[in-house]
Amino acid sequence: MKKLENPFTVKKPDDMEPSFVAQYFVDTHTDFKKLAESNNSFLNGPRGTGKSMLLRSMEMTVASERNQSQGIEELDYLGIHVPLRREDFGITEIVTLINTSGTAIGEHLLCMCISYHLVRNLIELSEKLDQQKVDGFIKEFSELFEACGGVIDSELVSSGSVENKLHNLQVVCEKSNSNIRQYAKRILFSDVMPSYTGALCGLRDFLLPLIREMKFIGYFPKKPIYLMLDDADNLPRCMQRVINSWISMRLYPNICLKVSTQLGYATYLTLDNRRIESPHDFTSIDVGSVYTNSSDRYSKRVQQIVQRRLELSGIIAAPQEFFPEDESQKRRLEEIKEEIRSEYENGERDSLRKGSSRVTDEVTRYAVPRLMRELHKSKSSHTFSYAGYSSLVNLSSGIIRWFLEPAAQMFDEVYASSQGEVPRSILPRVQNEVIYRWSKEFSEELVIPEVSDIQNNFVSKDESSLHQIYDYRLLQKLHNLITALGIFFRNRLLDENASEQRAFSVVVRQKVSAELQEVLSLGIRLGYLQRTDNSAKELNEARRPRYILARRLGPAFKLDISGYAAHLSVTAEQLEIAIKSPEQFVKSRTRAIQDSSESHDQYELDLASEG
Amino acid sequence: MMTTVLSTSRLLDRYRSRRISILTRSSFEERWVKCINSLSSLNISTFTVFCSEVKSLETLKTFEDLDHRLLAIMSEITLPAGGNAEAYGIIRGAVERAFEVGVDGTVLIDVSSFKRDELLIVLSILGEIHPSYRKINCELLYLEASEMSDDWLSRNTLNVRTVLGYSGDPRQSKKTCVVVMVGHELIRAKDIIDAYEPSKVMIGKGIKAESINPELYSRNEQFYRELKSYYGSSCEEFEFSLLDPIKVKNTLKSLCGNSQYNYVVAPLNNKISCIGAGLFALENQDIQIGYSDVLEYNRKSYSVPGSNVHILSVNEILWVDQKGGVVATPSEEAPSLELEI
Repeated sequence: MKKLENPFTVKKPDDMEPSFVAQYFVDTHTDFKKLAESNNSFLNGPRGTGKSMLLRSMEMTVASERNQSQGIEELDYLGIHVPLRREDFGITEIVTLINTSGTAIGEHLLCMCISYHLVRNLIELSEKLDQQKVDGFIKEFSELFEACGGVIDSELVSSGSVENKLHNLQVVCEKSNSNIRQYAKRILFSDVMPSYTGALCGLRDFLLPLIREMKFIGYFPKKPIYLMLDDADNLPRCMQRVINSWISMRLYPNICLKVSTQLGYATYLTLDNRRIESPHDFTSIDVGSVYTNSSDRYSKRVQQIVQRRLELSGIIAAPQEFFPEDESQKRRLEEIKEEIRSEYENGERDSLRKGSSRVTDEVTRYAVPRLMRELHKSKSSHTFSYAGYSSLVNLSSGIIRWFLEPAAQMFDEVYASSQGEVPRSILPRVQNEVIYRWSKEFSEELVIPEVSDIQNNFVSKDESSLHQIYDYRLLQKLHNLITALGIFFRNRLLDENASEQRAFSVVVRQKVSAELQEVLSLGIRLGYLQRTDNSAKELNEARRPRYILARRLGPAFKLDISGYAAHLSVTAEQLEIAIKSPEQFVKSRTRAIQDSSESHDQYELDLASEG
Repeated sequence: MMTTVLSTSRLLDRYRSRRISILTRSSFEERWVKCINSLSSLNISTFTVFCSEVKSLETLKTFEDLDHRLLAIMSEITLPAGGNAEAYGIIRGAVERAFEVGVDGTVLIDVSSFKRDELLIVLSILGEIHPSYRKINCELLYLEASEMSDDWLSRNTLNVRTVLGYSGDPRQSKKTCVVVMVGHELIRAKDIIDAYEPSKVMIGKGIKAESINPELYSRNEQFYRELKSYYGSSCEEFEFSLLDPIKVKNTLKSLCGNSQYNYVVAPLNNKISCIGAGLFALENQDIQIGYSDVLEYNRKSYSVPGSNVHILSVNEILWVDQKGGVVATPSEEAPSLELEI
């Protein structure tokens, strides 16, 4: 029997054919309308939020497949997806070479990488292209490359089919970068510095004229070209400055740079030490906050994605059926909801409690906390089940990969024990085990290094970006902060007298210090926190930042991750305590509640923004 | 390949009649001292110790156990962190000086406590060394660990990069395949795989029969299974030798033959298998070796030194296949080579 492929395996967008992407993947670009505008953009978000898939789906070959009734000339822009891979740019010798010999080599590597993917798109569209005009493009490529010091075998680019000639151009791009790697290696092993005699192509002398020539090829409208540079964190700092210099040139609307990062982009300085700024030079799109601010939109996307993946695998089941809830827990919750309902109706509950005026609202807010307290009293908190489709969506915290990865593990476990039978659902027990493990791993990844190691290990900021964390003392503080919030929210949940028992975020009053801001930013970058801006209460009050604990941490701290949750209003000073001592933070907050020195409005229910 | 395994007490007999140059790497691990101390009464031409820029308390303590005769002739060389060009230049200079021991001498490199990237740099330097030096007998010594910490070995990945000299030849037209040789560092392995975001993952574990003891194998197996669980049923599995670098090279050669992929190999098990990965990459220049710098090692309980030293002849494992390679003949007084546990 043929082995069934796991429907939830995370696939690399670069590996997929355009027709596959167009047909089977859920179009999310309407969630990010700013990205389609004719300007430069940074698309930022933690790993797994679907940035690469989004950029790939914007590529002109995919758009052309999706809108088969329209020609390429009817596309709004021509997107070229350029993955910036670790193995291509994370090479120690290359970084050393660029740092010592100047950024011309780095710029050349980028130009060759972009050119390779530009030609790739032409190859995929070659049947629709005018042969003569493609020959003109190839001739221009050769002339520009040779003008930049390169050598091309004219035989390779003058004979054979259009597709063949274009393939040979790709080989030129690859070989050119390979030559630079060889050169970087030879420097290492030689006593005398050998001269580099290969091509050195730059934006102005190679890429821009090449792109202009590409636009003259038949069927290509006079539309903007979007160069989508994916995962720019994989570039060393010196090459990020090259991109920043390109951005500063403001080549839009003809050429727009769309740069994705995993929040590890090291610098916004150009090669001549100017700083590029938003919104003048680029717009900044935070993928995380788009979905954090609109949980409905995210839920719909996940539903579409999961449904489609199940269909592709031949599994006829709605996502809710495939990931069922724990029935016994569901029954107990219904009983509790009835109890709350009848308490309300009998006037046993304080109906004047602020923020709660409807029975449904009371039931929603207090049912799960009551169940959790019940389990806590019977010392069986660990039996609380996070199984169920909605729960898995909530746990994924707006990061689609955080749904797919545990789902893939669950599927593997069930399929492995099914003797080849196609799973029709994942048992709640299996879901729960995987979720607890996955949550625990995430919380344990945040380990605190010993102080002496921090002092002994020095990572220079002059070295490559490549997702480095420069100051590990911040890790310790972040660990403290997450622990403080997790424990405090758990205590809140167990307090039956608390007005808002379910809190999952903090809104920060007062200006935060630079250090605290670094800790919070690191938390966002590593996925432990998400940030959104809270609505101003008063007309003249600025929007205050709200930091939401990743729901993925919910099982590790035994929190209620479902639906609506309140946020806790804290001062920057209180958070400064949290980053130094979680115990002190929890004690002081608890004391404040007991002393009734904390007003009810420090807990506000945010109906619109938590999913 | 002929591998010799001797107890530390027998090392003296092996090298008694020779003039030797020793290169080693200081560490918080005691085993760097244990192996070298057993050679302290020999005719030592040079004794070079590579050190980190800042020595931890545990490392300083190991120096207290170093034989006074070695302390007296020790030459310490500081290596910068990060396996960069500066580190390369320093290691190269020290290796070339060691070979000044001459054709009647022996160069011994105790690799037990080298960081893996430094070890690979040493290997690449040996691979490029002047042909005239290849007439000199050169051996790598590796002292087993009888135990490894059952808690953790390292944590907090600083960054993921290539090892200097092993950049490979990645092509845009190819997809990425990461080949991980799992040891006892699960998170480090995961961080390397996640950094590359490969299209394909191959996860390998050490051969059970070659493991030093069942506990070590069991832990390796556990980490191997956990790592596999992250990447699902689609990742490929393999086993590799823990004792024979040539076998490791051949295993990797059989795995990494699909021209559709750029292969990134991450050796995370013992130094012998790391050497095997290095040999493979030196022979196949399109292979990249990935490495992660970590912030913290479990210095207090990383390992317990064993008693057996594995001796690998560079002449046999590296030079004999290269142009101008010569198998150096040990002097007649040397004891016969045999496996002795």
